[in-house]
Amino acid sequence: MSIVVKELYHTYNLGLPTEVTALSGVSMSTERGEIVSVVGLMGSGKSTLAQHLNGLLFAQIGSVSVDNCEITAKSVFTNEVRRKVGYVFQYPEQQIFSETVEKEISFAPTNWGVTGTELTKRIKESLSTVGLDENVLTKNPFTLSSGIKRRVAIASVIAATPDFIVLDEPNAGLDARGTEELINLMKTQADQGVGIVHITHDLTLALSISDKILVLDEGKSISWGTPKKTAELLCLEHLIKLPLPDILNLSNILKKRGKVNQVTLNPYELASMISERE
Amino acid sequence: MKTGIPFSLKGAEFRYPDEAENTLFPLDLEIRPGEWVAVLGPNGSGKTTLLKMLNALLVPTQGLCFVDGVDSSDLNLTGSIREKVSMVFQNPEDQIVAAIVEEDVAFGPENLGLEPEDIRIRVRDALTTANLWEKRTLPISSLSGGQKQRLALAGIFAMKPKALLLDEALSMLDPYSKKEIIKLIINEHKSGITIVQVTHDLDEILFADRVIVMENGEITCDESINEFLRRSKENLHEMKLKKPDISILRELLINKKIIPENTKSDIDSINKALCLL
Amino acid sequence: MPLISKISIGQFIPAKSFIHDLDPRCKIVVTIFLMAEIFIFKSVRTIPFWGLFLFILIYLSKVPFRAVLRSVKPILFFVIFTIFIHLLGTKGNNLFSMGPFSITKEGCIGALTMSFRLLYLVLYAAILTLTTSPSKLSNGIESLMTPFKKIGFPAHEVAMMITIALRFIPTLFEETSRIIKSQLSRGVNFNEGGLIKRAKAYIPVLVPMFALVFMRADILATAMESRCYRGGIGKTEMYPLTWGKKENITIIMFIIISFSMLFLDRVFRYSTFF
Repeated sequence: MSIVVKELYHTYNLGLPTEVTALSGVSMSTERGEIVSVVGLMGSGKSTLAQHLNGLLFAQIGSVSVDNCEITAKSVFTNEVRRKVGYVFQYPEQQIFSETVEKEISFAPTNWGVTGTELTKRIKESLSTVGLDENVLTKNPFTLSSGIKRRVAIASVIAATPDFIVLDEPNAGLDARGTEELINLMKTQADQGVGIVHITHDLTLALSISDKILVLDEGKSISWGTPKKTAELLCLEHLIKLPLPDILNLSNILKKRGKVNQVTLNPYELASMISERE
Repeated sequence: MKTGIPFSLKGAEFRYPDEAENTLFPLDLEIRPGEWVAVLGPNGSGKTTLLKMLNALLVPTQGLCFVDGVDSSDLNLTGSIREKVSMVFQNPEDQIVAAIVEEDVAFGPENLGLEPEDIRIRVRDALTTANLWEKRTLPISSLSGGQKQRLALAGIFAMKPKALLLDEALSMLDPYSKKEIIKLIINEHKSGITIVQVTHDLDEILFADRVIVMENGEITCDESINEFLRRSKENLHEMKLKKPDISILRELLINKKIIPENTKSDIDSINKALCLL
Repeated sequence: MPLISKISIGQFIPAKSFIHDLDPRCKIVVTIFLMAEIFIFKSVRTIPFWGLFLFILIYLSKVPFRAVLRSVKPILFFVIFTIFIHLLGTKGNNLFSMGPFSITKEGCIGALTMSFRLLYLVLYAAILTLTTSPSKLSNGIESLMTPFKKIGFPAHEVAMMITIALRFIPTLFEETSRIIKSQLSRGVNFNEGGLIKRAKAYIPVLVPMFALVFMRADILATAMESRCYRGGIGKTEMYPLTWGKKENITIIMFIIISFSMLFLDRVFRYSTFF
């Protein structure tokens, strides 16, 4: 199963003085089990693109298809697009509204018609995926720490067993340990066959975990390809405002001066390349 | 020109009213005028509680806290403490009060009861420093997250503080905005004010003077930035911190004697050092 | 994300104009009286004169006409609804009939009068908010309410609440929008089912919003304290309110125009010539 985005355009407030074109001719695709990152600063169009993937927005020009079915206002509900494509918003803990963690996690699956033992199984599995103990189920989510609340929110999306999960800046506000655990979560889910679409402004993170990267700047696609290809392209011409990771940036500067042969993300590699020359 | 103020904690403890245990255990800490101190540690380590004591938002339940020599528990002097010590919070949305850019910057000076002309001058200077002068009559809703945090900083520049407290103030920003704001903080540091920055991202503190690490309400580490960054990647990992790649590189190059020991942990400094070879 | 927040009806548009520079208290008082006067004038023939007056005001304010007219959009439906009610519901001299429906002369007059009254009402309010920054508006309101402080009315606090509310409307709009999208993504359908089911569907939006607002109120209060907020005591203003010649001229002009219109209204009403 795949998500395919073809030549997507999107303009907000069409016809009004406040008209803004958020996406201009963006294309990308992803399969189940892949990790694709969409990288850009605020205003790059990445959130707009993300919202097309589960039918929160509909293609004005171009198309978005999930499992070979184009997403339109009519098909969103009939093709269960939102069941197939889960979405974890930024600061997902803000969407919590239930009295118990159990009710919160069962919300989405229940909406999709999952009940009984299957529901209980899904809840248990999602808890273990996010690293929480079952004794949290009876607790009131509003009394928990923000770190645990976030895990509950993510579990509530995973419990619906979507085929794809869109994660919008999932590591926002997390410390190093939290980010590591999140990366593991994304990788494990991908290994289990879930397609991950990771929306972020952290180019370093994207380069380290993605199978493919789409770089957006002011609605336009700057590069689409593997992390290696992306790093090389961004080094060739620094076309965007998004800062390059420090090591990549420095290796690029040194390469242009002839001090090293190639660009790299790895500080150990760069150190060896420099010392070889000296 | 050191215009910063010192802080002094002596046996300072803190326990929240409903809690059974202390959030902060007896702390002794001296911060010198003009020092840039980074306070690191996981969530729940007490670092934010410590920070809030430095501008008298919280007062030690036991022990003492002195801000510029003044006892923070003296309620009569809370106002004068807050005039000298300003705080920037994590979410830009939570600290902006007015609907128009210049009106929000004026909020602090207006509270101080300054003359209108003085307020207008401070607002102009603050907006110029924060690079927001052209946007002064725009509504807040037209600013990006990074611009809003710059606005929050402008509001503080207008107070002309002698100390700046940052409570994870960059964690909600994108990399470009982070770099911009770090530049502003570096400039403030150069002007001599004391800076205390709570964060868990080591990339933000590469220009700090000193690092304090907290865990479970206690200070477990207090070192200069250079000493701290020399700690191994694994060691920092145990503290739930990620060693910045640029620091790793710097260390490797210093160990191989390719660049001098006093090279700073940033691209420009390392590049310059390599140029001199 | 969030371009919805950039649309703000009645939003302040800065400019250098006679009206922008007027003391907000003067503007507020004149606006209130103008709004009241609309309902006093009975003759439909005064409508174009009021229209001319408004046109001059808008011209003096240097605000683009488009921006002013945009503020009318939200009540357009209401105005059209009013026109229909008056056209079809008023009995009198039939001008035109079609089946059970007849349009009368009185109906036309009523429709015109009421619809223009509504439009003018909104336009006066729009000119006020377009030419006065929220902070000045709030200072003006606070100043006008100051006499009531003597009987314990919290003038400053109310003004502060208005300022903060105005500041947060776009933010809350955005955040509500994001939460709605979160819940849509989790399978909620706001368009399904009867009234009760639809109302219940909003619980996952209302609860998080309330939680968000309360948490924010707490942090905002702390931030305000950090910025030395001590209530209205000793607080000065960046742009202090100054009542001078401009304001006096405005008030005098307003009185003259009001009485002239009153005279005109009488003439139109009782004269058989016009």
